[in-house]
Amino acid sequence: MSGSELEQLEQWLDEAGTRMIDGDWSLWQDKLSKGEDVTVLGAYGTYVTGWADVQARFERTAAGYAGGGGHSTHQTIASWIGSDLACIVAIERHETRLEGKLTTFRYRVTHLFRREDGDWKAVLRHADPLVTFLGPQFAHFTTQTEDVA
Amino acid sequence: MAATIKSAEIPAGLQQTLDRVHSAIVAIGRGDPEPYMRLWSRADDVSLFGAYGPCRQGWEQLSQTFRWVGTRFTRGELRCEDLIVNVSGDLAYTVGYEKGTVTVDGEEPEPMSIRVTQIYRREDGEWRLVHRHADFTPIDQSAGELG
Repeated sequence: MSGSELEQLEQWLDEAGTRMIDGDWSLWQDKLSKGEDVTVLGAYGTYVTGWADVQARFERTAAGYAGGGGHSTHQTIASWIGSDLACIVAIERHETRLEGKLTTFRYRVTHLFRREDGDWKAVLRHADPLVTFLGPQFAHFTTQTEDVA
Repeated sequence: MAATIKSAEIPAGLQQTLDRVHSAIVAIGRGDPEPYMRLWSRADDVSLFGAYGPCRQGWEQLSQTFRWVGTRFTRGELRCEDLIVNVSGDLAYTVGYEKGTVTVDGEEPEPMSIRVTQIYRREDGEWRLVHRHADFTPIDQSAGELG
């Protein structure tokens, strides 16, 4: 049972991320805990905690993506589930279109979920860009990460 | 420092491990990673998203990375700020910052502030670290208007 709950959460992450990069954050909105400790340490900076501010951050991030479309998938590094807490550590991969070109972004992500009234709710997203040595390409902002393992 | 948001009850054993982690981070800043390494699980599923970029899995990789970090720091003054501490059953996590001044590779001391999420698991009655995700706070892009 616990295995399938983790699988469901992992599937949810891909669906929510795929919607997100198309500018639609509704799956995240439904999933966010209303607890005072809900927190996002996002790839776009700073430390945001509390439901109102976290919602505002997701809404803004989604607006920045709007129209790009594409797919979000992930590779699980580790995951744990207890009675009321679950954690998924992963590399998240966003394949999206930027100015018509297919581009891949990778993020290191740690997600925490808490069971609240029987439902798993997201209480933490900690994400930052996966840093790989890219040399001069990176320095000149012509990053093409597709060939990076 | 903002008030820490905590689960209603933090088990004594977890609090003891958290206190040890705080001391161990102070030691890392001074170039000694051993106390921090002692607080980690040796299970196969440990993982590290380090502040200096590496993604590491398994104790062999993690211990090499911690020792490498230890060789880079000298005479630093680091402290932990846990802003969230949550526990349920045998799983717990903290979210916050590690801040202070570090001397990296013998250069001049410089301020450091990293965002840190750590996951703990109770193994045979002992709370152990199983994951660390640390990063330098990215530039805050929230203030700008969308084009």
